[in-house]
Amino acid sequence: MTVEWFDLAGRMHAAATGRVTARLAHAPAPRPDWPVAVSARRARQGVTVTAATREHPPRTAIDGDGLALLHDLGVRITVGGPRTLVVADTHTLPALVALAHTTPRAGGRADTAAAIAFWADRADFPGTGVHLHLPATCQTRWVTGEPPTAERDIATWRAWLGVTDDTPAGLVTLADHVTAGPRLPTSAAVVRDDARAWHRARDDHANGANWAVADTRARAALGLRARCDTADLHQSGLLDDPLARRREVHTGTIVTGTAHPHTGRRAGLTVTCDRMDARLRAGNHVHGWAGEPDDGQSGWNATVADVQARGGALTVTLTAPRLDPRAHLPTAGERVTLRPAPTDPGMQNRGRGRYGTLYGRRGSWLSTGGRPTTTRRDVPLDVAIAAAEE
Amino acid sequence: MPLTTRPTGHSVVSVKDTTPRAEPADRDPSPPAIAEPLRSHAARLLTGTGLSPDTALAAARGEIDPADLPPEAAAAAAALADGWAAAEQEGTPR
Repeated sequence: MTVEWFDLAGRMHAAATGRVTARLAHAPAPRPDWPVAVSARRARQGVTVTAATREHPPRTAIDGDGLALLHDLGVRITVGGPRTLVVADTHTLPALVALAHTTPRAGGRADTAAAIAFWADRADFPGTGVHLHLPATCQTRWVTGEPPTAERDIATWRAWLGVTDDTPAGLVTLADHVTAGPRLPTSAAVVRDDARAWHRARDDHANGANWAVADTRARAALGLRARCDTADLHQSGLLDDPLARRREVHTGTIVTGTAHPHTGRRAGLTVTCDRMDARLRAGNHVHGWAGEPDDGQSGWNATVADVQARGGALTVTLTAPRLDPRAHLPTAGERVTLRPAPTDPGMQNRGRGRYGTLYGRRGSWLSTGGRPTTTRRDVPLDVAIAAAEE
Repeated sequence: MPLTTRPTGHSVVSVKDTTPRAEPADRDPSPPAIAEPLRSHAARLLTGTGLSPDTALAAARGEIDPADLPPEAAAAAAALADGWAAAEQEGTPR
Protein backbone atom coordinates (compact mmCIF):
# COMPACT_ATOMS: atom_id res chain seq x y z
CA MET A 1 0.00 0.00 0.00
CA THR A 2 1.17 3.48 -0.81
CA VAL A 3 -1.33 5.56 1.12
CA GLU A 4 1.24 6.92 3.59
CA TRP A 5 3.20 8.50 0.72
CA PHE A 6 -0.04 9.83 -0.78
CA ASP A 7 -0.84 11.47 2.58
CA LEU A 8 2.72 12.75 2.92
CA ALA A 9 2.30 14.68 -0.33
CA GLY A 10 -0.86 16.24 1.12
CA ARG A 11 1.10 17.30 4.20
CA MET A 12 3.88 18.77 2.09
CA HIS A 13 1.28 20.64 0.04
CA ALA A 14 -0.29 22.04 3.21
CA ALA A 15 3.13 23.10 4.47
CA ALA A 16 3.90 24.76 1.16
CA THR A 17 0.64 26.67 0.93
CA GLY A 18 -0.01 27.30 4.64
CA ARG A 19 -3.53 25.90 4.16
CA VAL A 20 -4.99 22.55 5.16
CA THR A 21 -5.30 19.96 2.39
CA ALA A 22 -8.73 18.41 1.90
CA ARG A 23 -9.09 14.66 2.32
CA LEU A 24 -12.85 14.87 1.72
CA ALA A 25 -14.97 17.13 -0.42
CA HIS A 26 -17.88 16.50 1.98
CA ALA A 27 -18.36 17.23 5.66
CA PRO A 28 -17.72 14.01 7.62
CA ALA A 29 -20.42 14.84 10.19
CA PRO A 30 -23.68 16.80 10.09
CA ARG A 31 -23.64 20.45 11.15
CA PRO A 32 -24.88 20.55 14.75
CA ASP A 33 -28.13 22.44 15.34
CA TRP A 34 -27.50 22.85 19.06
CA PRO A 35 -23.80 22.38 19.82
CA VAL A 36 -22.63 22.40 23.42
CA ALA A 37 -18.85 22.60 23.61
CA VAL A 38 -17.56 21.12 26.84
CA SER A 39 -14.22 20.66 28.48
CA ALA A 40 -14.26 18.58 31.67
CA ARG A 41 -11.42 17.51 33.97
CA ARG A 42 -11.40 15.13 36.90
CA ALA A 43 -9.25 16.32 39.78
CA ARG A 44 -9.03 15.84 43.53
CA GLN A 45 -11.53 18.60 44.22
CA GLY A 46 -14.06 17.15 41.76
CA VAL A 47 -15.03 17.39 38.11
CA THR A 48 -14.53 20.85 36.61
CA VAL A 49 -16.84 21.58 33.70
CA THR A 50 -16.46 24.47 31.26
CA ALA A 51 -19.19 24.75 28.64
CA ALA A 52 -20.41 27.13 25.96
CA THR A 53 -22.95 27.24 23.15
CA ARG A 54 -23.44 29.56 20.18
CA GLU A 55 -25.57 31.83 22.37
CA HIS A 56 -23.84 31.44 25.74
CA PRO A 57 -20.20 32.36 26.46
CA PRO A 58 -18.05 29.88 28.40
CA ARG A 59 -18.84 29.31 32.07
CA THR A 60 -17.09 27.02 34.52
CA ALA A 61 -18.54 25.06 37.45
CA ILE A 62 -17.58 22.10 39.61
CA ASP A 63 -19.41 18.81 40.28
CA GLY A 64 -23.15 19.31 40.84
CA ASP A 65 -22.90 22.90 39.69
CA GLY A 66 -21.30 21.59 36.51
CA LEU A 67 -24.37 19.43 35.89
CA ALA A 68 -26.57 22.43 36.66
CA LEU A 69 -24.59 24.42 34.08
CA LEU A 70 -25.21 21.77 31.41
CA HIS A 71 -28.86 21.61 32.47
CA ASP A 72 -29.16 25.36 31.92
CA LEU A 73 -27.61 24.95 28.45
CA GLY A 74 -30.37 22.53 27.48
CA VAL A 75 -28.57 19.24 28.09
CA ARG A 76 -31.65 17.33 29.21
CA ILE A 77 -33.14 14.06 27.98
CA THR A 78 -36.60 15.62 28.33
CA VAL A 79 -36.17 18.28 25.62
CA GLY A 80 -37.32 17.83 22.02
CA GLY A 81 -33.99 16.91 20.44
CA PRO A 82 -30.42 16.09 21.38
CA ARG A 83 -27.69 18.67 21.86
CA THR A 84 -24.40 17.91 20.13
CA LEU A 85 -21.50 17.40 22.50
CA VAL A 86 -18.43 19.08 21.00
CA VAL A 87 -15.15 18.05 22.61
CA ALA A 88 -11.47 18.51 21.90
CA ASP A 89 -10.09 15.52 23.82
CA THR A 90 -10.82 11.99 24.94
CA HIS A 91 -11.15 12.62 28.67
CA THR A 92 -14.08 15.06 28.73
CA LEU A 93 -16.78 12.48 28.05
CA PRO A 94 -15.54 9.96 30.68
CA ALA A 95 -15.35 12.83 33.20
CA LEU A 96 -18.94 13.81 32.40
CA VAL A 97 -20.10 10.19 32.70
CA ALA A 98 -18.38 9.95 36.10
CA LEU A 99 -20.23 13.09 37.12
CA ALA A 100 -23.52 11.67 35.84
CA HIS A 101 -23.00 8.54 37.94
CA THR A 102 -22.87 10.65 41.10
CA THR A 103 -26.32 12.12 40.42
CA PRO A 104 -29.31 10.65 42.29
CA ARG A 105 -31.73 9.04 39.85
CA ALA A 106 -34.67 10.87 41.35
CA GLY A 107 -32.82 14.16 41.68
CA GLY A 108 -33.39 17.37 39.80
CA ARG A 109 -30.46 16.73 37.46
CA ALA A 110 -31.36 13.16 36.52
CA ASP A 111 -32.51 14.32 33.10
CA THR A 112 -29.08 15.89 32.47
CA ALA A 113 -27.32 12.72 33.66
CA ALA A 114 -29.46 10.65 31.25
CA ALA A 115 -28.58 13.02 28.39
CA ILE A 116 -24.87 12.53 29.19
CA ALA A 117 -25.41 8.76 29.17
CA PHE A 118 -27.03 9.17 25.74
CA TRP A 119 -23.93 11.03 24.51
CA ALA A 120 -21.69 8.27 25.85
CA ASP A 121 -23.78 5.67 24.06
CA ARG A 122 -23.80 7.50 20.70
CA ALA A 123 -20.09 8.35 20.83
CA ASP A 124 -19.42 4.82 19.54
CA PHE A 125 -21.33 5.52 16.30
CA PRO A 126 -19.04 6.94 13.59
CA GLY A 127 -20.52 9.94 11.80
CA THR A 128 -23.05 10.60 14.56
CA GLY A 129 -24.45 14.10 14.79
CA VAL A 130 -24.63 14.20 18.59
CA HIS A 131 -20.98 13.70 19.54
CA LEU A 132 -18.27 15.58 17.71
CA HIS A 133 -14.67 14.80 18.65
CA LEU A 134 -13.02 17.69 16.87
CA PRO A 135 -9.44 16.46 16.32
CA ALA A 136 -10.69 13.15 14.91
CA THR A 137 -13.30 14.82 12.71
CA CYS A 138 -10.79 17.39 11.44
CA GLN A 139 -8.34 14.56 10.67
CA THR A 140 -11.03 12.83 8.64
CA ARG A 141 -11.61 15.98 6.60
CA TRP A 142 -8.16 17.53 6.23
CA VAL A 143 -4.43 17.09 6.66
CA THR A 144 -2.15 19.82 7.93
CA GLY A 145 1.53 20.39 7.26
CA GLU A 146 2.33 18.73 10.59
CA PRO A 147 2.97 15.07 11.47
CA PRO A 148 -0.20 13.09 12.34
CA THR A 149 0.69 13.03 16.04
CA ALA A 150 0.41 16.84 16.19
CA GLU A 151 -3.08 16.65 14.71
CA ARG A 152 -4.40 14.90 17.82
CA ASP A 153 -3.96 18.22 19.61
CA ILE A 154 -6.75 20.72 19.10
CA ALA A 155 -4.20 23.56 19.22
CA THR A 156 -2.87 22.38 15.85
CA TRP A 157 -6.31 22.66 14.29
CA ARG A 158 -6.98 26.03 15.89
CA ALA A 159 -3.74 27.32 14.40
CA TRP A 160 -4.32 25.90 10.93
CA LEU A 161 -7.96 26.97 10.75
CA GLY A 162 -7.30 30.42 12.17
CA VAL A 163 -9.45 30.10 15.29
CA THR A 164 -7.83 32.16 18.02
CA ASP A 165 -10.34 31.47 20.81
CA ASP A 166 -8.99 28.62 22.95
CA THR A 167 -12.13 28.36 25.10
CA PRO A 168 -15.11 26.07 24.40
CA ALA A 169 -16.60 28.96 22.40
CA GLY A 170 -13.72 28.46 19.96
CA LEU A 171 -14.64 24.78 19.78
CA VAL A 172 -18.12 25.75 18.58
CA THR A 173 -16.49 27.81 15.81
CA LEU A 174 -14.27 24.86 14.87
CA ALA A 175 -17.32 22.58 14.85
CA ASP A 176 -18.99 24.92 12.38
CA HIS A 177 -15.85 24.88 10.18
CA VAL A 178 -15.45 21.12 10.09
CA THR A 179 -19.13 20.44 9.38
CA ALA A 180 -19.54 23.16 6.73
CA GLY A 181 -20.51 22.19 3.19
CA PRO A 182 -22.40 19.25 1.76
CA ARG A 183 -22.74 16.17 3.96
CA LEU A 184 -21.82 12.64 3.04
CA PRO A 185 -24.85 10.96 1.46
CA THR A 186 -24.94 8.32 4.21
CA SER A 187 -25.11 10.99 6.90
CA ALA A 188 -28.90 11.23 6.65
CA ALA A 189 -29.31 7.61 7.78
CA VAL A 190 -27.02 8.14 10.79
CA VAL A 191 -28.93 11.30 11.75
CA ARG A 192 -32.23 9.36 11.58
CA ASP A 193 -30.68 6.70 13.79
CA ASP A 194 -29.55 9.43 16.25
CA ALA A 195 -33.15 10.69 16.42
CA ARG A 196 -34.55 7.19 16.98
CA ALA A 197 -32.00 6.54 19.72
CA TRP A 198 -32.84 9.89 21.35
CA HIS A 199 -36.56 9.13 21.47
CA ARG A 200 -35.86 5.66 22.83
CA ALA A 201 -33.63 7.10 25.58
CA ARG A 202 -36.24 9.77 26.36
CA ASP A 203 -38.99 7.13 26.62
CA ASP A 204 -36.78 4.93 28.81
CA HIS A 205 -36.16 7.89 31.11
CA ALA A 206 -39.87 8.72 31.25
CA ASN A 207 -40.61 5.09 32.13
CA GLY A 208 -38.15 5.18 35.01
CA ALA A 209 -35.46 3.03 33.40
CA ASN A 210 -32.03 3.34 34.97
CA TRP A 211 -29.35 4.07 32.36
CA ALA A 212 -26.61 3.16 34.85
CA VAL A 213 -27.69 -0.51 34.96
CA ALA A 214 -25.85 -2.83 32.57
CA ASP A 215 -27.71 -3.79 29.39
CA THR A 216 -29.41 -7.13 29.07
CA ARG A 217 -27.59 -9.63 26.84
CA ALA A 218 -30.07 -9.08 24.04
CA ARG A 219 -29.80 -5.31 24.20
CA ALA A 220 -26.01 -5.42 24.41
CA ALA A 221 -25.87 -7.71 21.37
CA LEU A 222 -28.19 -5.45 19.40
CA GLY A 223 -26.18 -2.42 20.47
CA LEU A 224 -22.99 -4.05 19.24
CA ARG A 225 -24.65 -4.94 15.93
CA ALA A 226 -25.91 -1.35 15.54
CA ARG A 227 -22.42 0.03 16.18
CA CYS A 228 -20.89 -2.33 13.61
CA ASP A 229 -23.60 -1.43 11.08
CA THR A 230 -22.97 2.29 11.57
CA ALA A 231 -19.21 1.82 11.21
CA ASP A 232 -19.80 -0.09 7.95
CA LEU A 233 -22.20 2.58 6.72
CA HIS A 234 -19.76 5.38 7.55
CA GLN A 235 -16.89 3.60 5.79
CA SER A 236 -19.10 3.07 2.77
CA GLY A 237 -20.22 6.71 2.89
CA LEU A 238 -16.62 7.90 2.82
CA LEU A 239 -16.23 6.10 -0.52
CA ASP A 240 -19.03 8.26 -1.91
CA ASP A 241 -16.58 11.15 -1.71
CA PRO A 242 -14.42 11.65 -4.83
CA LEU A 243 -11.31 12.77 -2.91
CA ALA A 244 -11.57 9.83 -0.52
CA ARG A 245 -11.92 7.43 -3.46
CA ARG A 246 -8.79 8.84 -5.02
CA ARG A 247 -6.92 8.23 -1.77
CA GLU A 248 -8.36 4.73 -1.30
CA VAL A 249 -6.77 3.62 -4.57
CA HIS A 250 -3.58 3.62 -2.49
CA THR A 251 -5.06 1.28 0.15
CA GLY A 252 -6.39 -1.21 -2.42
CA THR A 253 -10.01 -0.50 -1.46
CA ILE A 254 -10.74 1.26 -4.76
CA VAL A 255 -9.55 -0.65 -7.80
CA THR A 256 -8.80 0.86 -11.18
CA GLY A 257 -7.99 -1.00 -14.36
CA THR A 258 -8.87 -1.86 -17.92
CA ALA A 259 -12.08 -3.64 -18.89
CA HIS A 260 -12.31 -6.80 -20.99
CA PRO A 261 -15.99 -7.68 -21.47
CA HIS A 262 -16.66 -11.38 -22.04
CA THR A 263 -18.03 -12.44 -25.35
CA GLY A 264 -20.38 -15.30 -26.06
CA ARG A 265 -23.13 -16.67 -23.88
CA ARG A 266 -21.45 -16.16 -20.51
CA ALA A 267 -21.88 -12.48 -19.75
CA GLY A 268 -19.31 -10.93 -17.48
CA LEU A 269 -16.32 -8.72 -17.30
CA THR A 270 -12.65 -9.12 -16.51
CA VAL A 271 -10.69 -6.16 -15.21
CA THR A 272 -6.92 -6.04 -15.47
CA CYS A 273 -5.97 -4.01 -12.40
CA ASP A 274 -3.42 -1.21 -12.42
CA ARG A 275 -2.04 -2.41 -9.08
CA MET A 276 -1.44 -5.72 -7.34
CA ASP A 277 -2.79 -4.68 -3.94
CA ALA A 278 -6.55 -4.81 -4.62
CA ARG A 279 -8.48 -6.01 -1.60
CA LEU A 280 -11.22 -7.70 -3.63
CA ARG A 281 -11.89 -11.37 -3.03
CA ALA A 282 -14.19 -13.90 -4.70
CA GLY A 283 -17.73 -13.39 -3.45
CA ASN A 284 -17.36 -9.64 -2.79
CA HIS A 285 -20.11 -7.44 -4.15
CA VAL A 286 -18.79 -4.44 -6.05
CA HIS A 287 -20.02 -1.34 -7.79
CA GLY A 288 -18.20 -0.27 -10.93
CA TRP A 289 -18.27 2.46 -13.50
CA ALA A 290 -16.45 3.50 -16.64
CA GLY A 291 -13.93 6.16 -15.73
CA GLU A 292 -11.61 7.18 -12.93
CA PRO A 293 -12.19 7.10 -9.15
CA ASP A 294 -13.13 10.77 -8.94
CA ASP A 295 -15.65 10.50 -11.78
CA GLY A 296 -19.36 10.01 -11.05
CA GLN A 297 -20.43 6.63 -9.78
CA SER A 298 -23.28 5.86 -12.17
CA GLY A 299 -22.51 2.30 -13.23
CA TRP A 300 -23.26 -1.30 -12.47
CA ASN A 301 -23.24 -3.79 -9.62
CA ALA A 302 -21.55 -7.16 -9.88
CA THR A 303 -20.03 -9.95 -7.82
CA VAL A 304 -16.37 -10.92 -7.91
CA ALA A 305 -16.13 -14.43 -9.29
CA ASP A 306 -12.37 -14.79 -9.29
CA VAL A 307 -9.17 -12.87 -8.54
CA GLN A 308 -5.90 -14.05 -10.07
CA ALA A 309 -2.35 -12.81 -10.49
CA ARG A 310 -1.35 -13.56 -14.06
CA GLY A 311 1.81 -12.46 -15.78
CA GLY A 312 2.61 -9.79 -13.22
CA ALA A 313 -0.89 -8.30 -13.27
CA LEU A 314 -3.93 -8.82 -11.11
CA THR A 315 -7.15 -9.70 -12.91
CA VAL A 316 -10.61 -9.55 -11.36
CA THR A 317 -13.41 -11.48 -13.03
CA LEU A 318 -16.91 -10.20 -12.41
CA THR A 319 -20.16 -12.05 -12.90
CA ALA A 320 -22.86 -10.57 -15.12
CA PRO A 321 -23.12 -6.92 -14.02
CA ARG A 322 -26.55 -5.56 -13.16
CA LEU A 323 -26.85 -2.30 -14.99
CA ASP A 324 -28.09 1.04 -13.86
CA PRO A 325 -30.35 2.14 -16.76
CA ARG A 326 -28.34 5.36 -17.06
CA ALA A 327 -25.01 3.58 -17.30
CA HIS A 328 -23.37 1.48 -19.96
CA LEU A 329 -21.15 -1.54 -19.68
CA PRO A 330 -17.56 -0.68 -20.47
CA THR A 331 -16.20 -1.58 -23.84
CA ALA A 332 -12.96 -3.49 -24.38
CA GLY A 333 -9.96 -1.48 -23.27
CA GLU A 334 -12.01 1.16 -21.45
CA ARG A 335 -10.84 2.43 -18.05
CA VAL A 336 -13.00 1.26 -15.14
CA THR A 337 -13.15 1.79 -11.38
CA LEU A 338 -14.47 -0.73 -8.85
CA ARG A 339 -15.47 -0.07 -5.26
CA PRO A 340 -17.06 -2.28 -2.59
CA ALA A 341 -20.83 -2.23 -3.09
CA PRO A 342 -22.37 0.67 -1.14
CA THR A 343 -23.92 -0.31 2.17
CA ASP A 344 -27.71 -0.12 2.21
CA PRO A 345 -28.97 1.32 5.53
CA GLY A 346 -32.48 -0.08 4.87
CA MET A 347 -31.07 -3.58 4.56
CA GLN A 348 -29.07 -3.04 7.75
CA ASN A 349 -32.24 -2.01 9.59
CA ARG A 350 -34.09 -5.09 8.36
CA GLY A 351 -31.15 -7.26 9.40
CA ARG A 352 -31.13 -5.76 12.89
CA GLY A 353 -34.88 -6.28 13.10
CA ARG A 354 -34.49 -10.00 12.33
CA TYR A 355 -31.57 -10.22 14.76
CA GLY A 356 -33.66 -8.56 17.47
CA THR A 357 -36.50 -11.01 16.88
CA LEU A 358 -34.13 -13.96 17.24
CA TYR A 359 -32.67 -12.56 20.45
CA GLY A 360 -36.11 -11.81 21.87
CA ARG A 361 -37.42 -15.30 21.17
CA ARG A 362 -38.18 -17.44 24.16
CA GLY A 363 -35.55 -20.04 24.72
CA SER A 364 -32.80 -18.26 22.81
CA TRP A 365 -29.69 -19.53 24.61
CA LEU A 366 -27.81 -16.39 23.65
CA SER A 367 -30.21 -14.04 25.44
CA THR A 368 -31.16 -16.31 28.33
CA GLY A 369 -27.59 -17.36 29.06
CA GLY A 370 -28.52 -21.03 29.14
CA ARG A 371 -25.85 -23.45 27.96
CA PRO A 372 -26.49 -25.06 24.59
CA THR A 373 -26.81 -28.82 24.53
CA THR A 374 -23.58 -30.63 23.71
CA THR A 375 -23.70 -32.53 20.44
CA ARG A 376 -20.95 -34.67 18.96
CA ARG A 377 -20.11 -35.14 15.32
CA ASP A 378 -17.14 -35.94 13.08
CA VAL A 379 -14.65 -33.15 12.54
CA PRO A 380 -12.53 -32.86 9.38
CA LEU A 381 -8.90 -33.76 10.01
CA ASP A 382 -7.53 -30.31 9.08
CA VAL A 383 -9.85 -28.66 11.63
CA ALA A 384 -8.64 -31.09 14.31
CA ILE A 385 -5.00 -30.35 13.43
CA ALA A 386 -5.61 -26.59 13.48
CA ALA A 387 -7.29 -26.90 16.88
CA ALA A 388 -4.37 -28.95 18.21
CA GLU A 389 -1.93 -26.27 17.07
CA GLU A 390 -3.92 -23.64 18.94
CA MET B 1 6.06 31.25 -0.83
CA PRO B 2 8.73 29.62 1.30
CA LEU B 3 7.92 26.18 2.57
CA THR B 4 8.87 27.23 6.05
CA THR B 5 5.80 29.46 6.19
CA ARG B 6 3.78 27.98 9.02
CA PRO B 7 0.79 28.95 11.11
CA THR B 8 1.98 30.67 14.22
CA GLY B 9 0.16 31.42 17.42
CA HIS B 10 -3.55 31.32 16.80
CA SER B 11 -3.82 32.39 13.21
CA VAL B 12 -2.60 31.21 9.86
CA VAL B 13 -0.04 33.69 8.69
CA SER B 14 0.43 34.31 5.01
CA VAL B 15 3.90 35.67 4.40
CA LYS B 16 4.55 37.57 1.22
CA ASP B 17 7.59 36.20 -0.52
CA THR B 18 9.92 39.18 -0.91
CA THR B 19 12.93 37.16 -2.00
CA PRO B 20 14.59 38.81 -5.02
CA ARG B 21 13.83 36.79 -8.13
CA ALA B 22 16.87 35.19 -9.70
CA GLU B 23 17.22 34.86 -13.40
CA PRO B 24 16.37 31.33 -14.60
CA ALA B 25 20.00 30.48 -15.22
CA ASP B 26 20.96 31.48 -11.68
CA ARG B 27 18.12 29.68 -9.91
CA ASP B 28 18.95 26.99 -7.45
CA PRO B 29 17.48 23.83 -8.96
CA SER B 30 16.98 22.17 -5.56
CA PRO B 31 13.47 22.43 -4.08
CA PRO B 32 12.91 24.49 -0.92
CA ALA B 33 13.59 22.79 2.38
CA ILE B 34 10.90 21.12 4.47
CA ALA B 35 10.69 22.34 8.04
CA GLU B 36 10.80 20.15 11.14
CA PRO B 37 8.93 18.20 12.44
CA LEU B 38 7.43 17.30 9.05
CA ARG B 39 10.94 16.58 7.77
CA SER B 40 11.53 13.85 10.38
CA HIS B 41 8.09 12.37 9.72
CA ALA B 42 8.81 12.32 5.98
CA ALA B 43 12.26 10.78 6.46
CA ARG B 44 10.72 7.95 8.51
CA LEU B 45 8.05 7.23 5.90
CA LEU B 46 10.58 7.29 3.08
CA THR B 47 12.96 4.79 4.66
CA GLY B 48 13.92 2.18 2.10
CA THR B 49 12.68 4.13 -0.91
CA GLY B 50 15.96 5.87 -1.66
CA LEU B 51 14.19 9.23 -1.47
CA SER B 52 15.07 12.04 0.90
CA PRO B 53 12.36 14.45 2.07
CA ASP B 54 13.61 17.03 -0.43
CA THR B 55 13.68 14.68 -3.41
CA ALA B 56 10.28 13.37 -2.33
CA LEU B 57 8.93 16.93 -2.47
CA ALA B 58 10.45 17.42 -5.90
CA ALA B 59 8.98 14.11 -7.08
CA ALA B 60 5.57 15.11 -5.70
CA ARG B 61 5.71 18.38 -7.60
CA GLY B 62 6.67 16.58 -10.80
CA GLU B 63 10.08 18.20 -10.91
CA ILE B 64 11.96 14.92 -11.27
CA ASP B 65 11.71 12.59 -14.21
CA PRO B 66 10.66 9.19 -12.79
CA ALA B 67 13.29 7.62 -15.05
CA ASP B 68 15.97 9.40 -13.02
CA LEU B 69 14.84 7.75 -9.79
CA PRO B 70 16.06 4.40 -8.47
CA PRO B 71 13.61 1.52 -9.10
CA GLU B 72 12.79 1.20 -5.38
CA ALA B 73 11.56 4.81 -5.41
CA ALA B 74 9.05 4.32 -8.24
CA ALA B 75 6.01 3.39 -6.14
CA ALA B 76 6.65 6.14 -3.59
CA ALA B 77 7.23 8.76 -6.28
CA ALA B 78 4.02 7.82 -8.09
CA ALA B 79 2.00 7.97 -4.85
CA LEU B 80 3.57 11.30 -3.90
CA ALA B 81 2.75 12.78 -7.31
CA ASP B 82 -0.84 11.53 -7.06
CA GLY B 83 -1.19 12.88 -3.52
CA TRP B 84 0.13 16.27 -4.61
CA ALA B 85 -2.21 16.36 -7.62
CA ALA B 86 -5.17 15.46 -5.37
CA ALA B 87 -4.17 18.24 -2.97
CA GLU B 88 -4.19 20.72 -5.84
CA GLN B 89 -7.68 19.59 -6.82
CA GLU B 90 -10.62 21.62 -5.57
CA GLY B 91 -12.57 19.72 -2.92
CA THR B 92 -15.93 20.10 -4.61
CA PRO B 93 -18.23 17.08 -4.70
CA ARG B 94 -19.45 16.03 -8.13
